[in-house]
Amino acid sequence: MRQGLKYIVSSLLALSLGAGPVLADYRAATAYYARRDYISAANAYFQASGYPKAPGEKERSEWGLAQSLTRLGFYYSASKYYSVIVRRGPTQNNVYFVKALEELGRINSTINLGQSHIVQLFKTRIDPSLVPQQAAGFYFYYLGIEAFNQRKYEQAFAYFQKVPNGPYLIKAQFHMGVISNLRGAHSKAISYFERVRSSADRGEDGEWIREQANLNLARVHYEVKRYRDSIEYYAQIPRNSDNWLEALFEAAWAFFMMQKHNNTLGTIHTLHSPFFENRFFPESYILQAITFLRLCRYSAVKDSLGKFKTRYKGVFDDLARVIEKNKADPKGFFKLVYDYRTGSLNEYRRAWAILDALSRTDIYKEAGQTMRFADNELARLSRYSSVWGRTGLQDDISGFLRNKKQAATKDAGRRLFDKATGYYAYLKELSDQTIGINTEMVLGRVDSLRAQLKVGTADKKANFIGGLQELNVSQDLEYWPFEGEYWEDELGGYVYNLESRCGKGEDNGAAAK
Amino acid sequence: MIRFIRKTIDCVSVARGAALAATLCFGALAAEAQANDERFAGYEIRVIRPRFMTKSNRVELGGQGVFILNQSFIYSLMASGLLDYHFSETLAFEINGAFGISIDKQDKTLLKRDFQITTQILRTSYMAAGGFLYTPIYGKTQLPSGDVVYFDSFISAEAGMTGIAYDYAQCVAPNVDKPAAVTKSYPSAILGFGQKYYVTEDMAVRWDVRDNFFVYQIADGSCNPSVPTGTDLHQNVTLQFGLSTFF
Repeated sequence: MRQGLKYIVSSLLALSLGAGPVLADYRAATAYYARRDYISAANAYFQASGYPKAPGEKERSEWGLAQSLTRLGFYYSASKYYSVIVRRGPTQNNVYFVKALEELGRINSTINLGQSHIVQLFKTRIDPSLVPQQAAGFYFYYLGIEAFNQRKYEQAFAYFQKVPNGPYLIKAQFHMGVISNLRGAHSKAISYFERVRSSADRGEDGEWIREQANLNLARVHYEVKRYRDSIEYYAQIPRNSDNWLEALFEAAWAFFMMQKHNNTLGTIHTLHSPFFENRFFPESYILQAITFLRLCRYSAVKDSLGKFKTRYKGVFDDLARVIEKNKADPKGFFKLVYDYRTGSLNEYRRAWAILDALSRTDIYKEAGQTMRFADNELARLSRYSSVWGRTGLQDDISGFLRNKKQAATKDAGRRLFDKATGYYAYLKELSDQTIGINTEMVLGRVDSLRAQLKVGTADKKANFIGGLQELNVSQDLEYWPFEGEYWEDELGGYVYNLESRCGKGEDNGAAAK
Repeated sequence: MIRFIRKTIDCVSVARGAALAATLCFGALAAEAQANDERFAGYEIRVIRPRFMTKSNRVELGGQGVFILNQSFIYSLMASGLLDYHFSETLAFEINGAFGISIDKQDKTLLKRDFQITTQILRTSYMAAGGFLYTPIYGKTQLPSGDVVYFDSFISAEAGMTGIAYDYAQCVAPNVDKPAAVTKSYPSAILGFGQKYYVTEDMAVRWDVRDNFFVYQIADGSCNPSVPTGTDLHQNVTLQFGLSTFF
């Protein structure tokens, strides 16, 4: 009997020592955390949150688990548990609500949690007066974004106005600029964008938003017909940016409106260089054609329209196939863009320009970032499988990360697909325009066609050299003739050297027939 | 088609470009005047942009290693410094000076050791000169890495002094008094050419090949320098390589 009792006692003791974390409670978890053994602490907190032994222990364990994961650099994984706390709302028992909201804001400002995650998070409506100052930026900014995406601009503006000083202020001001412009308050929009430009930091995020502000400033100035100012802002987009060609293309329109036709054509020359054969600027051929039209160079007009057809007929056909095949498969569509970006796609070659354009969108980049961060945490997770595998923590986190990846892929795939169908419609519209221009020319209605091109007044004072730069008389210039070779450093610097033939009777409308 | 070849423009183009810019400043010509410029009459498309490297009214300070190429029995290694003032993109005034040492080649050592032949050698100890640099070519080239590097090519004409160190090592006959070692200076003229490759807008890698020629008294190196024996022409062909900075 005594022997038997001794056996039972020693067995229980061995079990409790050998399988410590399995039977760990909240106190043990706290002790691990205090010793900075975050791996064991996370495990113990996870277990304690599943089997709370006292009131409030579940919430405290969730907080401890999220904190332990944060300390280990598992930010996405930690966001799962912070989100659980936040979604419970600011109740009296939810003592970690404020802190969890702050932590999520912090995580989101370093690694993007993703729009869908945050939308889910804020489905729980919170009394704005209860939102702590430290979390107000994160909270109001995303409410603003949600309203903005639903085109509720007044509401969005009101939310953005509540964003206090901090990492979200600059993004909020940027959106306030966009909304002001949509309201027609151009000066106000310019003021917001200028503020963003001047206060953006020098880091990667700062550069991105400064570039977006520059682009928007250029567009606002274009809209109010201040083409010279518009070009000045387009010129601020650096060559290594994904937006550089977009800026060049839009600047070409500004040149056109200023009747700087040699600059328009020179800028388009860069877009048509072999370096950018997979970039998608179909409208540049239309702009080129109507610029030649303004110069009464009708054979060149026909040539541009012909080039548009040659280049984009195949794109149009392949794009139609891509859309047809993927219309019910957003994940498949995302994978297609991903395969293009990683160089492993061998089909739909003629639609690569579209896939390239899609792969340069923020939608794709954000999803890619989510996948990269999630994959990184999944890979690191396997290192702790011997500890976290026993309690189910590993399965819990990996399930969350996989779902996050899937949701990001699906959401991005859907939005990218919508964009692709937009490109399809755009190409069709441009194709119709080329037919229209051709028809008018063949019918000899060149004058009426030219009259339709409502360009601005020629600015005689403004003189531009290549690279969207105004002629600065104190600067020495260098000239490089284009002799059929494209040099990478010359891209963006071309200027044409053509005179108008209008009224000279050499290449007239009749010749175009 | 993309081809990567060296591309150059001549200085006349650049000079005209600058002149045109100045004219436009006063509104005498419209922008279209650029298009009408006869240099580009044959080109439908050209690149016009601010010049990458501007030298006008800038000071160039440089250092080079100098190696005299045409010496049979010695190696002459020198360090030189140069100071240029660029009046324009094409014309600069330069002063430079080089000092160095000579090391006997193995041939000379063998001749002395095995055949007791000692040679009379002109050992250049310094060169100092001033003159003009004319830069007719400004161009660019693409490196295998894909980077484009701008360069210019220049010719130089200078005048100065060259110092020759005589050690009278050949004066070993028992009945001859060996004169004390001395350095004598001769007026010299220098013609050269070279290139600068601009690493940045303030720094360039520079190389020069120069022919420094001067007339010297043959007796100056003989064991009896006081007996005139006529003159001779000597040339030092140098290869110089170094860095320049621009202020």
